[in-house]
Amino acid sequence: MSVSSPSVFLLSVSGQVEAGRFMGGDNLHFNYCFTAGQDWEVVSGLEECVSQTACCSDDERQLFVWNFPIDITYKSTNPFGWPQIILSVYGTDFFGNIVIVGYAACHVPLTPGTHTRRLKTFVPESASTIQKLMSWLTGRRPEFLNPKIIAQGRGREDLTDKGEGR
Amino acid sequence: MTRPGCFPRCVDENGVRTPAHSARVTQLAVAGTHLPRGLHHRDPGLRNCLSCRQGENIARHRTRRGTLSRSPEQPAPVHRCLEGAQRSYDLPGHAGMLFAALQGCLPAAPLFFLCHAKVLSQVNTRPVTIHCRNTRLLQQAITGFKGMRGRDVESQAEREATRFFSATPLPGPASQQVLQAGSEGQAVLPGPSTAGERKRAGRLRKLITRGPTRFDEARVTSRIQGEEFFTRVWPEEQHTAPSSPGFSLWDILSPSKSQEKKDGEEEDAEGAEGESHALVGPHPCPPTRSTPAVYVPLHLRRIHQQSTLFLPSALPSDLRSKLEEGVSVRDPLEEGLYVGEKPFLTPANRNIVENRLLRQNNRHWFSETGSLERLNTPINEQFYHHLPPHLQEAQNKEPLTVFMEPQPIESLQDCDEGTGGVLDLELCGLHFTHHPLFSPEHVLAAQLTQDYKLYKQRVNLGATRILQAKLVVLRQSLAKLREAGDTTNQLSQSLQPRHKTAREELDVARRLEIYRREVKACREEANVEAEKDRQLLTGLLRTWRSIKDLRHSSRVHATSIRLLIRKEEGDRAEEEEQRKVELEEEVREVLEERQQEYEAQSKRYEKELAEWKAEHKKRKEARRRQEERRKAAEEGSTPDAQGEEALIQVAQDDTLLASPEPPRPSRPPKPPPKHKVELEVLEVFSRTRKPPGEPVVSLELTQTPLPELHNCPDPEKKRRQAVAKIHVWLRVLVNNKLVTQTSSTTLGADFTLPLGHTFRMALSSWPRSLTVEVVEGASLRQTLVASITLPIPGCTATTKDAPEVAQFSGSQVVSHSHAGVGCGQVGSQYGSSLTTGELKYKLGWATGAEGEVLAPLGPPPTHAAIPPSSSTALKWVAPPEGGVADTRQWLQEARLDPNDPANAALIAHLQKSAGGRSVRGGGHYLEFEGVAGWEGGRGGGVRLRVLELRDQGEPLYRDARLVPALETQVLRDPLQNFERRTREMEEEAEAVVAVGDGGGSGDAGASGDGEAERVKEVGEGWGAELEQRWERVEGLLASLRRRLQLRYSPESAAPVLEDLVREESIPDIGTLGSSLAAVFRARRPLRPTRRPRDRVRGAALTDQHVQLIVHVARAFNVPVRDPQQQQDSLGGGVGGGGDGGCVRTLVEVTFQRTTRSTSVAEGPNPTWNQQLSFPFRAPNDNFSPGSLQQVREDVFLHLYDQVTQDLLDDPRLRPSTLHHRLHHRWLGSLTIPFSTIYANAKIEGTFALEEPVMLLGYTREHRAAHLPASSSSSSSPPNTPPGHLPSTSLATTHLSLYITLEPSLPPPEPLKAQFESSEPEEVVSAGREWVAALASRYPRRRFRTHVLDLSGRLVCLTRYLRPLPPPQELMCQDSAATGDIWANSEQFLTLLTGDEEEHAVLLACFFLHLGKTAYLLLGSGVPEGETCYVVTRESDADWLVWQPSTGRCFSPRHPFTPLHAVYQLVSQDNIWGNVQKYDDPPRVSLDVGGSGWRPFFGRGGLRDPGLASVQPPRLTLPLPDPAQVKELQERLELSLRDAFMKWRGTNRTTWNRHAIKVLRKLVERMEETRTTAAATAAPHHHPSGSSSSSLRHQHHPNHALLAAIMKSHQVCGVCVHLGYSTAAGVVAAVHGAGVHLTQAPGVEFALALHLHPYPGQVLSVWVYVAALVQRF
Repeated sequence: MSVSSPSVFLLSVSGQVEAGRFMGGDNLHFNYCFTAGQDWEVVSGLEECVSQTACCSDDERQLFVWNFPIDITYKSTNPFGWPQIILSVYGTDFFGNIVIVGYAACHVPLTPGTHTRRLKTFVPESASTIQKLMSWLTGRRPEFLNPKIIAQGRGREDLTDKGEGR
Repeated sequence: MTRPGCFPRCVDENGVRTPAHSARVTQLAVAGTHLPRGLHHRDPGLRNCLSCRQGENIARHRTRRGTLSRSPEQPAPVHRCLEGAQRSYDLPGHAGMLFAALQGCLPAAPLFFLCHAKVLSQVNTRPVTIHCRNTRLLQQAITGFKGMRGRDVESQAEREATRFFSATPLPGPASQQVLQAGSEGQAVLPGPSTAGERKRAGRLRKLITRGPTRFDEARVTSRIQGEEFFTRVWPEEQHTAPSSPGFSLWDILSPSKSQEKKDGEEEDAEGAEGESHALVGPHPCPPTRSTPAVYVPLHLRRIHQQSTLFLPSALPSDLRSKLEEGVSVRDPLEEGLYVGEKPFLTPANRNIVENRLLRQNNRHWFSETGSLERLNTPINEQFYHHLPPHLQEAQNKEPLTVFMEPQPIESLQDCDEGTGGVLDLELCGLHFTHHPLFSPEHVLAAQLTQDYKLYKQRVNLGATRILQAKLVVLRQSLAKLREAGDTTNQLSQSLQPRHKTAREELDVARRLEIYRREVKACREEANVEAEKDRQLLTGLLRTWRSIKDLRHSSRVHATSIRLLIRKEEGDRAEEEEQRKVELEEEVREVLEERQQEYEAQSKRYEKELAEWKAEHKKRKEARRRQEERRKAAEEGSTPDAQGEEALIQVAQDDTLLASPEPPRPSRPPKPPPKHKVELEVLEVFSRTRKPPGEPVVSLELTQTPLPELHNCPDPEKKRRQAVAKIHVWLRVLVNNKLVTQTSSTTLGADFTLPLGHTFRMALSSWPRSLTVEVVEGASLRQTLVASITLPIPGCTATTKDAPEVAQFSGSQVVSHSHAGVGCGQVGSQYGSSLTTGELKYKLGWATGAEGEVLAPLGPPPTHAAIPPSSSTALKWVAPPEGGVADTRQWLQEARLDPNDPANAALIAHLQKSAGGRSVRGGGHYLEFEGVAGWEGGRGGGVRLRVLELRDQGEPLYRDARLVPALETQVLRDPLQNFERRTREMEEEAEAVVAVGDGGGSGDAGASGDGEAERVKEVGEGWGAELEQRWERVEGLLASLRRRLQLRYSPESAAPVLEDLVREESIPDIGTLGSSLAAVFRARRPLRPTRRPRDRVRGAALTDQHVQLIVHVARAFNVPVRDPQQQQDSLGGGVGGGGDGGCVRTLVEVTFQRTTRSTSVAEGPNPTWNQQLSFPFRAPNDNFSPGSLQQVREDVFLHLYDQVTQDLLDDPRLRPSTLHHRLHHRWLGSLTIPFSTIYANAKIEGTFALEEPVMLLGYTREHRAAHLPASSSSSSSPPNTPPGHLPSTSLATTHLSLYITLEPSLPPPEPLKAQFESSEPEEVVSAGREWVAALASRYPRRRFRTHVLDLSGRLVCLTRYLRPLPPPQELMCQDSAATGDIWANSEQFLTLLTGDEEEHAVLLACFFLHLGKTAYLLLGSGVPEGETCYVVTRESDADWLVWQPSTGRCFSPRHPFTPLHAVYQLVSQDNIWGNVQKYDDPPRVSLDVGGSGWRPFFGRGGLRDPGLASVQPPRLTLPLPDPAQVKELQERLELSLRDAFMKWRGTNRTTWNRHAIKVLRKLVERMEETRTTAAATAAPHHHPSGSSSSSLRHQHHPNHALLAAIMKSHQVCGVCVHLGYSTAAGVVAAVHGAGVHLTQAPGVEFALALHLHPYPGQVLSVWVYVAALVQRF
């Protein structure tokens, strides 16, 4: 973070999504997207990316290693609406359908330096048992229409989430 | 050598003093002015004494006494000495220093020396006496001290330090040393020698070098006072003390003798005076001398001890001795005053303190109650903080700035574990006070229990007793006051001078009055309380009796309740006697009060009577004078001779006589006679007191074990079974979400549910609500009995020990066939009450490991911390609403008990407000005005304001991105403009709403006039004013819309699950069935069916690419090029078929600045079948319904004829070369607002195009007859009046379209919010029911009976219709949609904007005035969507549908009507809903009398309430000023030309002046032709079929004007006609005509504009644009 001009400050984020540990699913990939307030503007870098697919490691750690780089620079005039990164992890299920495995979000760290974050992921639950069964059969599990809503506070009352993996 | 029993005592050197030393020996162990301090040794061998005394002090003694001042001989207990020493240690000065020095020298040595210091006059000069019994210690002490003293003292001290003298006659070597140190020595005190001492000495030095401060003085005085407190035990000896210059043991033993001895000694001291002077000087010499030890026997010492010492007794003291003489004991508790709880003190300790005080004869310590006056709580509520002096200064000037440490970021990150609160909810028990399964006995028992609780409470409170005691006290005081008054009166008459008596008398009278009032109030209150007691008691007994009756009759005990009645017989005779006394007293009082009242009244009466009499007399005289004047006038004499005074007199008389005479005041009623009063009082007594002889009853409620039921009646048995079956459990909901529930339990026979569960809930933030639901269920079904909302505890509230009780009550109605009484049944004896009960619970935040309260961080929600209702004392007198003065007044009158903690908050507040900051202790306390600091920048904070506005969603700032970080960079002007505009808009909106109200209330005449004036005002500044008004109207509508949105935003803002989560819907039978059927359905691949698309909810659409898809199918009846004209006007070279009547058309679609066009199709009925897609950009990428509704963009469709001009000059090149110019000629256009597409999801149908009024070079008529479509139009009913035929025929071009959005956006939800209405509730609710009933049968049809008016209130539709006389000429105007607000016609014309509803309402009103049967038709049409048309009945079966915004009319049977569905009809009196099978207009019967219509009023519904119309009786429409119109016209034309030239870009624009002149003439007649043509068509002058008629009038005489030009030029022109709204609108319309696109070389242009004014500022704009190319 540096102040380049008196009226705008820049926030430069670089990092990587290293690894994940998930209970179910295999061949996981994720996509990340950034969301920020109205006073924020992307100067350079990619706001959204889809990662490569990773397989579960063979050792006892059972990790999915991506080591996927993140690089983005914002400029802003107002700390309100600090950028958040949203990860949605997808994987294949028993029938080979690509289903959602987890969502996670976190703010970009507020201080300069190296930070490590462990995010817990979750997926929305089916509204009823029948729908759960249906979704399992059809391979279309409930997912967010827009993953960015997990970075908002609004309208979350109606959701029941299930924690899964991290 | 310790001697047991040796009492420590004072010694005096006087007893052993030798004459040689008398000069040196001055004083020993002087510890105070009066009280000497002695040295007490157990080991005489080590007895030393060190005394240090200030010379000045001695000198003073000397000068006073004239001799050597001696210590008074006063022994003191050891502990006093020690105490003094310790205190002196704290003080700066010698004593402390010396003491510290001694202590520091011998850190390991036990503290054997005692020290005492006494301050006499100044702080920094004080004597110190140190008694030490360790020689070594003393030596070291002196060494230390020596260092501290000056050099001059040093040698002396060294010399004398080792010389000791025995201080007392005790055996063994004893020595004493008295050191004296002058005040001079202090300044030069060097640091202490010992290293261990350094630290302490440093502190001491600091204390010394500091000058005496006020603080020290205060401490000194306090210490002196404290000292005096201890010395005051012996007051009689104080006087003798200074007179005893010395003392000996003998003195101690026999104080009487010492007195004699002293006299003798004084002479000795005289001689020593000179020497002792030397002591005072700068070089004092410490006197030392030895005395032999003297033994005092124990018994002597005991005697002495008894005479001098006082041991306070621990036994309680006599009450009388504690009171001042002549004061009687009183008990405020009995008088009903509040007596707080005193802090606990053991009785023994209290007695000791009391006795000590008594011994000192300090009676003021005791209160009237005879007990020690103590504070209720010594703890001060206020926190005082002593600021350092420099801060005190600063604090007075400005508020303290508090520096907050920046928090480490990690704490923010990791807060998700730590910040949440942990809420403990313990549900202790549930108890039903009424339940449907109650037996009648239960009901009674519940009542009994409740009454008993009240009874117990009242008994404990004893309000009646207290009041009665208070009454007694008051009566006594009153009597005493009376007596005192009498005596003073007598006294004063005899002794005192007059003036003083008068004041006293007044005072006494005032007090008497107050007492009397008090007595009266108290008596009445006591009576009320006593009556309540009686009633409660009788009620209890009655309930108990009915319970017993019930038990007896049903032979079964359903409850275990039992009431014990204890009687206490009293002495009847005595009671009677007492009653008689009371009765008499009360009668006397009442009589007195009545008498006084009467006196006051009669006094007032007399005064009034006197006034009245004076008035009456004046009147009489005036009348007489008038009479005289009248007579004089009759006689003919002129009154003017009497002059001015007489005139004034006349005027006065007239006014006097004109005013009505006040009635004669009535005499007050006489006070009732004594026997009547007696009867009254007796009656009160019978109500409130128990009759004499009746036993005193005390009740007790107990439980008895329930007997087993054997021969229980059947209903009761069933009831018990039902009770056993029912299960009850509680559910705990936080924020309306189920958190947990208890296990279900059966109810016991007593309907209580012992729970005792504790639920611990971890909450991430403050809960909004906390609800406990009581659920009961039998086997399968479960019912919610009641829900209890618990108050959310405050930040610091933890669980309390005592459970709280929450009452609840259900609302269901239950009745049982068995013995259960049910609930909620009106009229039933036992079951009328609803289910009620109590829940006992404890609620609070849990405490963490370190005892911290685990409440969530952040401020609690406003409603969360509800303080417990502590204002119990204030319940009965609520303070009035009003200012501070009122409150103060009320408080003075209410006379609150200031001791009662219930009033503490109020009193403290009062004190604070009264005394400002003058709080006890005078300390400062910190005050923060935190919020004010933030608010301060409100005026200047432009950036903050912008951010706030953005947050509020103001349209101007909603989409603002990157608001500058610095204040200076934020643009101020837009903000200021915005604020100003907002203010104006608000005012305007209010004004318009006020008009609406005026119209609604019926008296629209007045407001209409006012409105007319306003309109005129607005109209005066035409020109630019019109534009501004337009802007203002826009703004006004925006603000109205915003207001409405504010109303329902909470409902619509919350997204639902479908908005967020994509999930497969549950398959139901319908979808399963259809999917199964689909398998077996016949496949028809050539006929694809349209599949409904999934709806995409708005919240998810941020990244989606939404497209607008326009499918242009075909067009009908396109005008073709006039072959005749083509040949001679446009010349050869026209491409296309050789047929002269050919046209090559294409459709160009423009949306959001993107333009796409179809390919070219030929012929008058071209078919394109082309799909054009446009990207749709939502404002700010926000696809939520709210933002999509704001989209104001339109889809423009233009139909052009593509003319190909061959530019090839050389015909020989033609086979090989192609040189064409394409030219588009505008044939018509269609505008569809995006909002319509959005609301309807798709638009499909055939639409009539808006065409130029006059299309030169094109014709249609002769072709139209051959059109297949027109055959259908000609098959329209033959009885159609001929005037309507052209308008209903296919004379206009139609375009078939399909427009939709991909993916489909959800249409906005209809408003569900409830709006208030000024109409009767039954009409509104009936409307709701009517709509609901119809909507359930016909879900696709929209019905409504009430609409919102401008002020946001519901108004019945029928009220909009009323016959209104139209002005001479009128034209409606097309303008922007207002949303869903209906304005009445007046508002509509004021605003000059409105959508179809307003137009239709106005049109219908005019029709009604013309005597036609007209209905408002609500339906759906294109392109408007939900719309409103007008239907008129022409003949029995013939109807005409009028499209109000364009003024076209057509038959409902017309195939290409814009109207697609008919939902309901509205007339002046009723509303009919369409209940026919079809709703498309050709198939709908419009006869409302038929069965296909369901009326709102009548036919089983409610009667027409006869609501007044909201329309004004007539419209006042001012005529515009022609000059202004002219000016505007010129301005418009100029701006149009400018714009035209700009569009041409780099091409040169030449204006043909001649053509312009011609066109102007032409265009001026357009309106005339139009109106006259329309007038022939219909009795109503409303424009109809304008374009077609114009086309027909193509060869009108006007056209001849063009002929001349057309001879020399190829003319291609377009005439545009529209209602005037803004200049920009006109310009856009001309741009749409596309004439400027002509690229021919040498092209010239002509542009003419005409404004036709109509009443009410409606302007019709005609623009004629033509392109002229010179013919060769």
